[in-house]
Amino acid sequence: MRKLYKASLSVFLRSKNLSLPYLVLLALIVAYFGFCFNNYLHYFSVAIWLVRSCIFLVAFFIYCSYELAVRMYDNNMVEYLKTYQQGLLKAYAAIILCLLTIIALPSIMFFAFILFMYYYNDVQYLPFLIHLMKLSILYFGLSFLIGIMLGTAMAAKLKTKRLAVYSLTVIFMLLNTTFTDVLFRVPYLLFNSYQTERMLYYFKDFLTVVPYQLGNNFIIDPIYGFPTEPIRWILAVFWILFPLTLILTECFDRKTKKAMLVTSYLIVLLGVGLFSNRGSTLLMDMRVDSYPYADPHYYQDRPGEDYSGNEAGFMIEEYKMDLTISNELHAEVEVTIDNHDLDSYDFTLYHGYILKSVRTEDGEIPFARLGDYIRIGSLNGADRLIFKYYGKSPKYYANRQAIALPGYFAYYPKPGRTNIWDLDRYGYVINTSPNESKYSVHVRSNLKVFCNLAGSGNSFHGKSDGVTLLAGMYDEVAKNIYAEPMRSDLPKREYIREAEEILTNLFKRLDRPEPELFSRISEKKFFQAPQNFGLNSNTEDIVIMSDHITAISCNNGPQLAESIMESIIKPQADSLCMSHYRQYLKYLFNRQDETDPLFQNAVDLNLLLKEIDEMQFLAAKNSNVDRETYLNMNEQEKKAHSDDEKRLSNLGQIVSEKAAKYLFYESPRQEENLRIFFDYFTAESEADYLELVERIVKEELGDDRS
Amino acid sequence: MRRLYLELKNQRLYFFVPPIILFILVPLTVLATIKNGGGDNFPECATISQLFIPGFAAWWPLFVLKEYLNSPGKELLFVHKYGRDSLVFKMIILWAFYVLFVVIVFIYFIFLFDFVWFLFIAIIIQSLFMVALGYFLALLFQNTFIPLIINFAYSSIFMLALFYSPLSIFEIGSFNSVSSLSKSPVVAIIAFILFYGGYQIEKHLYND
Amino acid sequence: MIAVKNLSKSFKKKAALNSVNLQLDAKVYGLLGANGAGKTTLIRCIAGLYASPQGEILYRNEPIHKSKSFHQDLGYLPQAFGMFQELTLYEMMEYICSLKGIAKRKCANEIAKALTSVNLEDRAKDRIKTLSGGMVRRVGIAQAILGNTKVMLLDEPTAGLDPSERARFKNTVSELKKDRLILISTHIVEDVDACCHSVIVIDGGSVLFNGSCEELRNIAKNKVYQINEKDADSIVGEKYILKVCEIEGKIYHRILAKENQDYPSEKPSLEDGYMCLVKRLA
Repeated sequence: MRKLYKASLSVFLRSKNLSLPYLVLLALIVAYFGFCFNNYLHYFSVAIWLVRSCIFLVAFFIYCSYELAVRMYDNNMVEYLKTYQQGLLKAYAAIILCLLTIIALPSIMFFAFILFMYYYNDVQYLPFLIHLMKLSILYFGLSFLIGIMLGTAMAAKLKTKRLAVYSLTVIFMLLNTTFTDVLFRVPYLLFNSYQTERMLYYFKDFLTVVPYQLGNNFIIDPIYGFPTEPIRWILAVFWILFPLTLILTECFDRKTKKAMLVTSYLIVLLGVGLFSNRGSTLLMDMRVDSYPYADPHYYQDRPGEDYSGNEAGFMIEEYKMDLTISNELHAEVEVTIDNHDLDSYDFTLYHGYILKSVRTEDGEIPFARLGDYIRIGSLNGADRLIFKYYGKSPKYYANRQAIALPGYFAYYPKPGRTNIWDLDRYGYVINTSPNESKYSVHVRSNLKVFCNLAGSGNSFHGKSDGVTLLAGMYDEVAKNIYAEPMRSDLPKREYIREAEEILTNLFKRLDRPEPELFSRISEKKFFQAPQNFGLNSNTEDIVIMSDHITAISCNNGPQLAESIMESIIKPQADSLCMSHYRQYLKYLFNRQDETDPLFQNAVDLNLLLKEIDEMQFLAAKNSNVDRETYLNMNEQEKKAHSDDEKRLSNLGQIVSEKAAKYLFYESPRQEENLRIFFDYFTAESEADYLELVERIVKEELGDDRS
Repeated sequence: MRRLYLELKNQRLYFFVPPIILFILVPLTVLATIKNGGGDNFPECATISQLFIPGFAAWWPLFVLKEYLNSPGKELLFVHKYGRDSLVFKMIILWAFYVLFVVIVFIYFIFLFDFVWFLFIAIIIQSLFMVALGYFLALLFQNTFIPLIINFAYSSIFMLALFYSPLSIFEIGSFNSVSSLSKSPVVAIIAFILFYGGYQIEKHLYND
Repeated sequence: MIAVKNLSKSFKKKAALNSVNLQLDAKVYGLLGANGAGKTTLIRCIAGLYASPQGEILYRNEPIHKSKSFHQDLGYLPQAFGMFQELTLYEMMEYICSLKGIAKRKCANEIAKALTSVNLEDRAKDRIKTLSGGMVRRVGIAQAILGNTKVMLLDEPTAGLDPSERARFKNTVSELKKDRLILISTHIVEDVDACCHSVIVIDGGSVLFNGSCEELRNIAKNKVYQINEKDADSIVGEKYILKVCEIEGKIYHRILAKENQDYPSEKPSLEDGYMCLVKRLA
């Protein structure tokens, strides 16, 4: 075997169209490392850039392995090799061994460089080092191995049909980038065929050997890291074994060949079966089922039911939760209800969780599941229900790589019907229970889970209005502060204390009672949420619950205080109102930039009133123009409309800035104005902001004149 | 020309890959983008066009070159290599043939957008570059597999990741003024340099 | 040594071999037949390259796919033979030794013997791509010899060889034939005449003849005539013109006739006997 291996290696090294490109590749890799080192010193950025290039290396190794193995067919060697005992098998084995040597060098180079960057950046976080090693093995080891197996298998099966080989390689390469994403969206965008898009992506995912693809611009959350879920490894093994069995079918004949064929069918079935049950994986791309788009798409298609303010009629006194987190969430949740005499009970459980059964002490009871809601009939005196369910959420993942299940999300049954998604605000509704319940939570997971409740060893208990579970590259970075250690903006206790002080003073200044949840926030557990929580949601920047806080960022005390204040301010969901409330917050927190030209002169109130009038006029003028009306307009009318829109937008900006500057900075009644608008924003008022501004300004003008 | 026709016919079903891309996938993708954007969305459509169209320009040329570089009995093909049947000439004819298909696509675009001709010029020059790059690399490496990978890798890298790199022949923007063709003259010159380089290699293929 | 019993092989609907029965011993056999007659198919069946032909092929009374020694004793030269162009001749022979399972210590000796048999020992360090077509063919024969093979199946071994190479090939076969079964498939009759003890004629997948060269020649006894072109029409019955030649400015036809003619018959050659069989004039 050694001689065969040496001969194969000699063939490779002496072939100019193999060895030269290989040497050029090694040189390019070194140059690429230099480029990454110079430009992307942050370890995640470096890893991203290294991973992006991976698929082209895989394609190159497909080329190398195909060209090496097909030489046997080009040189008419196969016929006599088959007459030797296991001759063809030995020849292929030698070729594969040779190719393993060829890929070993670049694999080691990538691995070494990644390790170097880890130590150079002085990261000092062991889980991340382990993650990088797994990344290297999967992305720079197994994927290269897949390349050589695919190339060799194509040589074995397709032989000298080069056009077919080239085409398949190009397709494979493009499927492992976001090149095909625009194409795969066509069935849904043009024909509303969600199922077709799903099928196309299923196929693409099955062929994905580099999970973080070129063209993917989504941020990687440090808690999760690069996708290395078990299914990725299973797929890698599949794409190594399946081509291997194809090669072996060519090397044997008769019974062994049939056995190999059967084995390859079984491997395909097993691979497809396991892949179909892959459970929760992080899908950060453009498909309808992805992290950013799945829920917005799901809820926009559903009839608009609004359950805000809906009363459940009962409370849950106690939860006993037994969660198993493997490929997805498997849960058995026992709830103790206070009111046993209702005719029916509604619960909210996110629609991604499939409810298997609902039981009482007397056995299973019927239930109706519609979307996010469960309806159960009378309990006949029973006070406890056991829900058994499993499933996943595209955003709030729970798998072997990471767990991100915030307490305000219905990943366990919550009493009554509550909205999960707010269409107007384009974000998740923060569903905290009105009362605290007792919880006893046990999580079976390979990860160390962090929870707002007390406990250890993945078992927790306590009282709260929601249970938050986080795990992955996550840790307790200070007492009662939990964060992603890889992030540069780690929260600090002094920021939280500062924010608490700022808020206390602010509410005193506003002469308004501080919400109960805000009291003693510095004593609550603080969980830094992954940055991608804010990707498709305007509502999760910071969430304050009875015993803990989740926040996406915490750079300093004032910023934290402002985020907290934002969580209770609910402006109308139109861009003008949002702009006004941002201006309001700026002045409330004294963030105005006094070097701005706006501060050179006092606001001309009469001009401001005129501008407000003009805005109101333009808004009224174009309020009836919908898409159909617009399409029926002639060119002049369209231009006029477009000009009006531009003017309205510009005016909105100007009025917003001037009004805020006057009302909250220049006006003698600025404190009162701050109070008025605090009430306006927190009361979810339907009144028009501009009318309110106009009224106040006119009042003040009238006061001045008098 | 008869020989070129037979060489294209020899590709059988693979010949239809660029027409399918140009006449089915690109129009559908552009339509979907327009629908998703709820309006004109020309810059995005320009990006999509540049993603798909130049990348596949080298398909026919590379598959024709495969016969000259990889097939047994290829010496026979080189017997008449001098004169009108030279490979570089074939590459240019194939590029012109591809441009005809692109013209048809852009006639369709005229019904969707106001002004498409700057984009058209940019794309045909990018296609010329891709053909030239494929031709040059194929003759340099005596292989058509590597140029195919490099062509698609180039399109992917510079259209999906390094949008604003100075090495990119592509342009991100609205293509509504001549400034959007700022890269095109340089790209065309590089294409001709690649053709010239490839032709020099072609002349010496069997001189050893 | 090898017994072929009722061997049939079809490719899709076309029957390439039809109930072939043969008994092959340690001799040199020539397998004669036209293109598409089934020679290569027969040789491939005997080499065990086809998984499921109908019938049986026994090596020393054991089916070939069950025999442990068959593959070790077999040397095969296919019709299209090639090697890794980048290796040297010696390296390629070493490669084949490894594949054949020849012990390391015997390897060098075997390679030297094989290369000497085909007169290529001085090219051992040259790359395969520098060898001419004829030399490549000789290397093919050399690899078939490696490992002291007992059964050699050579498919068109002289294809593409010049006359001196063909003469050398015949000498090589003469040296190798001791205690070996050598089956040479060819459509060049002179090669069979020069090398082989026995001839097997195959046509349309069936064996038409299996016997000695002399017996094949005798099939055409009294059936071969060489007559002037002007007299060609006077030949009675079924006939076949073997060749047309010019002698001292006059055109003569060498004819195979089924019936006796009034002309003196020529001494038949092996080719005459072969044509007699193939043209069904026997």
